[in-house]
Amino acid sequence: MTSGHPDSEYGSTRPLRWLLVVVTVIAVLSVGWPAVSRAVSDNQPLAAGQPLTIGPDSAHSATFAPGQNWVVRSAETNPVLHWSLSDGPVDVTVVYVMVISPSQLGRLWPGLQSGLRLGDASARLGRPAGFTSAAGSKGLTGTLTANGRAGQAAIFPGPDGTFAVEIVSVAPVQDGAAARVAAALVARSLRFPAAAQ
Amino acid sequence: MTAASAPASPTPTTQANWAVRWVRITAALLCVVGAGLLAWAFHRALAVYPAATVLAAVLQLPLAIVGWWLLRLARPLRAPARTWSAAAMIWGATAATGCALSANQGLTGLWAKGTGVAFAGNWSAALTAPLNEELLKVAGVVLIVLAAPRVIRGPLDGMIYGALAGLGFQVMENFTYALNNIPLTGSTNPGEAVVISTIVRGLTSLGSHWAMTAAAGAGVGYLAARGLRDGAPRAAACLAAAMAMHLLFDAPAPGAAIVLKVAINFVVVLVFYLKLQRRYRARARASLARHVAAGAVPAVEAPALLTRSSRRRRQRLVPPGPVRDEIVSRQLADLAAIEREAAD
Repeated sequence: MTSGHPDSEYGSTRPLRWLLVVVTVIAVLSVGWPAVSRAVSDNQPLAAGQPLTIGPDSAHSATFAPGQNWVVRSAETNPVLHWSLSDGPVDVTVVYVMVISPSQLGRLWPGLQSGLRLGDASARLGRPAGFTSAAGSKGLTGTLTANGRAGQAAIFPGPDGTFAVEIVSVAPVQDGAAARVAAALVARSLRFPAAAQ
Repeated sequence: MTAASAPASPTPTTQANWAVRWVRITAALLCVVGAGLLAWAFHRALAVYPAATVLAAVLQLPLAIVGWWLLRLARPLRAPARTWSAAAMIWGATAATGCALSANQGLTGLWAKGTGVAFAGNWSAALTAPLNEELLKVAGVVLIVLAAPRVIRGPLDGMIYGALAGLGFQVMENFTYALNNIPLTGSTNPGEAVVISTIVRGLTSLGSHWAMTAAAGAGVGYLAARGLRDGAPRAAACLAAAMAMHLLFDAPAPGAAIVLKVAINFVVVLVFYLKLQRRYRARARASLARHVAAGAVPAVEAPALLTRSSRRRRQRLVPPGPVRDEIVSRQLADLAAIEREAAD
């Protein structure tokens, strides 16, 4: 491409030089960015009890509070859709899901089960039980097991039935109790601002 | 596609060229790597939501088929080479998309770590995708220039191949977005989630990846036609325009603004295309006139040469057989000479 006409490239090694440029650009983007990102610390501390918000707007949002010494994994977090938090060995995710129609609210629990299997084929949810947050929001909670991991999951439908918030807390089996405590902490603190208005 | 509109294929000289062969092998490997990255990222969807995954793929077929047909029809005189059109689309759907998964994950992570999750939540897509994805998509057009040096002769060729690479990317991205929409809607109705995503993405398809990479691809065409020194400023401007279109598309804005964004991107690429196409046709007509004046093209054949339909009509004046084959061969040879002069 340095010659002014493609025909003059025939038989030259210029294509290899340009090929090197192209491959370098592709490598910098697809290997370089992730490498630099991994080199930068991802765990940003959170103040205990500091309310975090999830959702696209005030009418479709929820707030929850993390526990003491929790950190946010910012690279995996988008405050509209997905918070990724950790407390030592415990991983806590809080996810905003849009509900296609209110008639599907009853399918959120089996839906969460299949969604978890996307990440881990061995993930299984236990039978759900009712749970009420400190602010009075009603949801479901149940145990979560997977190969070598254990924890707790919960679902809270939003006040207008158009969205829901899922909480999933997992840890190595020996820390399963800590994972269940973390899930309960977030679930208890969950509040829907639209419900309070 | 008729024989008269058959693409110019690389000569045996090209195929024998070892440097060109290295380019082709590398490009094919990058497509395999990209496809592998995509398969790794989404293979669980096929296991958990098999019907919805098949549905998501099937629903992209109309866009792929109609886009392929329209974009190849957009090239004046005759359709671009079928092999390299497919190569551009496959590049966009595999190498570019697969590498973009990794690149975007890395850069969005950096934005989140550097600027905080609130800012990154709004802006990381708009500040990440234009850089990563436009470079990865247009890399396929560059590789076609290197792998088949006579296929892209100027900005209009680059625009068509860029649009095809962008279309491949768009189809694969739509497919992955449809799968991602299943958990985003609570996995309560995977089929409906896929349909909703496909409709929403379909509504924005007029101003999406094909349009952005068409602009960037035109720049590669300028480089191919004019060389680095003369072509680089225009190539840089085209790439910057593609990135700006992508930034506009991804920038946070109220939901209804997407209509305006799509319209702007579509009008930008349409005006650019019409400008290039008008100049290309004018150069082709001038070239044909020179060939007729020099006696290289019979005056009686000239009016039937520059459009697909007129060539077909001319061919049908004689019954199938050696005479028609001779006419087709002569038209192809004349077109090749005209295309060389009309490219830029």
